[in-house]
Amino acid sequence: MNEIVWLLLSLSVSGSILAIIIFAIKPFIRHKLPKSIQYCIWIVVLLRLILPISFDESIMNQVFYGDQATLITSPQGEENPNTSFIWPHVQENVSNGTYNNDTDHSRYFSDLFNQYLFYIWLLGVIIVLAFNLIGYARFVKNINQTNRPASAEESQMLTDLLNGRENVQLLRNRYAATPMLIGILKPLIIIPDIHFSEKQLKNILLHEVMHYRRFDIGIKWLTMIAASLHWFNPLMCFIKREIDHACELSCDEAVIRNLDADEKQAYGDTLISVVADHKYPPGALQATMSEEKATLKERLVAIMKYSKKAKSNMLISIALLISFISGAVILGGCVDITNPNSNEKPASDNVTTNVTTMVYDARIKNKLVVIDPAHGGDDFGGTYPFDVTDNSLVEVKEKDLNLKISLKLYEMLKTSGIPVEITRKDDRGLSLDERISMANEKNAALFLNIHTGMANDESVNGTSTTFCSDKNRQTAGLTSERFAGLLQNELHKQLQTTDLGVKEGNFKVLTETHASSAIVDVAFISNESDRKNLMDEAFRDRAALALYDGVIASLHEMVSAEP
Amino acid sequence: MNKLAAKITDSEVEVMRVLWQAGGELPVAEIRKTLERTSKWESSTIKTLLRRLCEKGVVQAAKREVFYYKPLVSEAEYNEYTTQSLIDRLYSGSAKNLVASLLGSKKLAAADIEELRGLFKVGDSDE
Repeated sequence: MNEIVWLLLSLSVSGSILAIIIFAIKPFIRHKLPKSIQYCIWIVVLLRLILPISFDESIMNQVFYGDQATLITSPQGEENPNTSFIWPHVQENVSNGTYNNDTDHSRYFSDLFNQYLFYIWLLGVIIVLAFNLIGYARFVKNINQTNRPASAEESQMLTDLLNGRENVQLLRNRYAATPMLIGILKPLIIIPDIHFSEKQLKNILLHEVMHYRRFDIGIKWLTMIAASLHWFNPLMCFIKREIDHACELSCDEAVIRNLDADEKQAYGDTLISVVADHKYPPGALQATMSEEKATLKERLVAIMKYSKKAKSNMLISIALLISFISGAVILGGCVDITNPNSNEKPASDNVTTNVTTMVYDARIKNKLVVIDPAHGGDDFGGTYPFDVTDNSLVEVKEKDLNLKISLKLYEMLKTSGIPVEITRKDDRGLSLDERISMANEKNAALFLNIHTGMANDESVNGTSTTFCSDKNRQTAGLTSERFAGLLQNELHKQLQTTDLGVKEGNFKVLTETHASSAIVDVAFISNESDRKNLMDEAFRDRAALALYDGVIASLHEMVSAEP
Repeated sequence: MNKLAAKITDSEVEVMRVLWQAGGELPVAEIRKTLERTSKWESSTIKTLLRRLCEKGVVQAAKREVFYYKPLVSEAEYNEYTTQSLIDRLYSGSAKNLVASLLGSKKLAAADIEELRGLFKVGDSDE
C-alpha cells in the first residue's frame, strides 16, 4: 500500500515542478498570452497531479525506482513480485527481538512510520475531503433554504443567454454575497437579492453562463480533489489560488471577446459595482481586502488591455501548451502499482520477467554481499530419498539444494547491480576456513550462508535464521542480529513455512567472518513436506526472492546508518 | 440593525428571548422569573447581562417605579443576522472552492472603489 504513497509523492513532485516553472515564466507571459492558454496550462498541472498515467521511462520512474533496478526471477507461483520493496513489519521485528539491542528507538519509530505511512496519508485525505464536502453541503443546504425564484423576465434573460436551453435555474438570495454558479448536475445561478439594472444583470449572467459553458465547476471539483490528495504538499495552496485566478481571468476574457468598447466598459463597471454594493454594515466581512482589491484590479486591467492577439502570440501559446503537456508526460509518475509487468505470464517456465523494484539508495551498490552455499563436493550435507512422480526414487542432496537457491540469489543481486560473490558456483568441496577467508579478504559487508535444516525427528519443519551475538558490534551500521531478523522476516512472509524464528549459535562461519553474517535454514530436508517444497523450483525461487528482499533491506539499513 | 445584532452573545440571547416572547418591555423581576425556570442564573448574572445589553444599545432601560427593559433588536433581525453570518462563514470556509462566483464575498471600501472606477476606462482604439 505504500506504493500508493510513493505514487502520490511522485505525482506531487511532478506537478510541483511544472507549477514552479509556470511561476517562473509567469511575469513574461501574463500580459502577452491569452488568459485561456494560461488557464489551460494550469489544468495540465492539475491533471498531472491527479492522473497516475505514465510510461516506464518517465523521469519519476527513474528517480523513484532507480535505473538498474530490475531483478530477474522466475515468476512461477509468484503472486506479487513487487513485494521486493521492503517495508519492515514492526510487530514481527518486535517479537523477534530485532530492536532489542537498539540504544535509541529511532529505528523502531522510522519502521513504524514507514509501516503506517499509507494510513497517515489516507487519514489526511479523509480529513481534508470531509472538511471540504461537509462545508460545501452545509452551505448548499443553508443557501437553498433561503432562495427565492427570480422574476420571469430575469429567468428569460438567462434562457436567452443559454440559447433557449433551460437547464440552469436562476435564483435570488438575500444572503448571497456575490453572484455565483453552484452545482454540476443541477446547476443554479444565485444572485444577491438586491436591485440590479438590466445591463448589470446581463453582465453578471454573461459571466456565470460562461463559467457554466466551460465546465469550470468541474475544474473546481478537480482542484479540490487534487488539493485533498496532496494535502502534504505546501505548494498546493498556491497552485489552487492560481487556478482560481486564471479561471476568472480567462472567463472574463471569453465574455468580452465579442463585446465592443462600451459593452466592455459596462462589464467592468458591473464588477466594480457588485463589489462596492453596501449591503453589509462595516464589520467582519469588510476586512482590509488588499488581496481582493488587487485581484479585481488585475481583472479590470486585463479587460482594458484586451485586444485580439496577434497570430505569432497564438503560435507561441500553442507551442507553450504543447511543451507543457509533453513536459507533464515526460515527468510522469512512478506507477509501479499499475505496472502491467506484474501480471505478465511468461511463455515458458524459464523465461524471466523484469520486475521493477525500489533500489532508491544507490549507495547500496558499494557493498559486497558474499553468498556461501553450504556443503559441496564430497560433503553432501543431508541426503534423503524423494519420490518423483513417475515412481522413480531419487536421492536428494542438501549440497545441491543449497547451491541452487544460492545461485538464484546470486543472479538476482548481480542483475540489480549489487556487488556479489559466491563461494562456489558448482559442486565442489570447500573448507570453512576457505569460505571465511574469501569473505574477509574481499571485505564483505554481508555474509550469507545458505543451508537446509536436518533433524532426527522427521516431523520437525520450518524456516530459521541463525546469527552469533558476539558479532553484535555495530558492523557498518547493521548488527548480525538485525540482518538475521530481516532475512527471517522475508522468508517467513514469502514462504509461509513454519516460522522457527531467529536463533543464536556460535558457528565458525558466524564468529570468524568480519561481515554481518547469518546462516539461513530455508526448510528441513528431513521433513517430508519441507523436502517436497525444496524440490519444487517455484519454492526455491520464492526463497531466493525472499532472501533477495532481506538482503536489499539490510543493505538499505546499512547505508542509511552512514553519515 | 445587523450591526446591533452582531453584538449579542449567546448568553445574552437567552435574556433577549424573554423580552421577545413578552412582545414588549419587562421589569427585571419578570425577566428573572422567566429565566429561573430555564436556567440556573443568579439574579446578579441577569442584571449584568441586562447592563451589558443596555451598554451595547441592544436593550433600552426606562425607569418608572422600577426599571423596564425594551429590546431594540427584533427577533427577526437577530435571526436574519445569524443566518447571514452562518452562510458567510460556510462560504468563506470551503464552499467557495466549489462555487464559481463573480467576485469574492468581501466588499471594498469606498476609497478603493473610487480608485478602481478612476482607473477603469476602456479606450476605443483597442480593437
